[in-house]
Amino acid sequence: MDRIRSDGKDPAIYEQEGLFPKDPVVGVTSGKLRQWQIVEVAVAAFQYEPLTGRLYRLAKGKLVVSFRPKSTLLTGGETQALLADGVADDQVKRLTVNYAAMAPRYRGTLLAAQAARARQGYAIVTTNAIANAVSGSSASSTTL
Amino acid sequence: MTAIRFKHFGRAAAAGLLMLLLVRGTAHAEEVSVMLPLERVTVSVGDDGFAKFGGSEVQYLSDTGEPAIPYMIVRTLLPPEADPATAVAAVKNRRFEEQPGTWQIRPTPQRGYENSRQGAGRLAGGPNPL
Repeated sequence: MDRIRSDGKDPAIYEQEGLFPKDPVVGVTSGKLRQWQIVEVAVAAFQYEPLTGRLYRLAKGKLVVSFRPKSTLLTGGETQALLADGVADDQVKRLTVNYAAMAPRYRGTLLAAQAARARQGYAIVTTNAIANAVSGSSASSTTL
Repeated sequence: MTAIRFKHFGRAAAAGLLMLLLVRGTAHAEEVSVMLPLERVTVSVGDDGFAKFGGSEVQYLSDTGEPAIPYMIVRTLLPPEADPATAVAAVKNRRFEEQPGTWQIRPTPQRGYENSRQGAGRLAGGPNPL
């Protein structure tokens, strides 16, 4: 805090050449809302060059979020979590930018997990209510 | 002689293991992408001579004393099999356009003080929606 000048400016930024911020991505945080895995990224809308007073607007770019898969398969609990209610669906749809593209993968993972269990000798009975909740259709039954 | 062979074998094994880890590490990486910007953040000169930014989804995340640049908050869904702890982000193919003129950007005030200002973001104690 000692480095801040009386006018509130940090000389390490305001008296040095170069752009601020150097990298437009300043933070990546992740969280979970019900079954949904969400990553939040802060991207600078501008870059500023304090010594010259030049200001640059981010006009175009592609934000790429890279990740690795979990080292273990989904547990029974996680699979059940995919069956969770749709309480947060609207909120997630509003909060995130790729809901339409990603939501089917959640449904697909659930169905794949059910199929895998069926192959292991489990008897899976999927009721209409659950099938409808998963597929979004109104009148269908699923037998695995 | 035997020691030399072991030494060479050890190096080869280590190199092979490293290659295996690298190949395995890159082969399983996945990504999701989003085109930017999500919204056009406006900028004008305020009455006090400092730049004045506008945007409905921006936050001010700089540290105290740093230029108060607005940040867009982008929330993306990861697939269910993803490990969120491994997520990293970058803006590729980015293009910045210079805004005409010379600009003065206000320094980010100390936390707490920022709470009483319009445009206070999560840095100033705002809740994280996650």
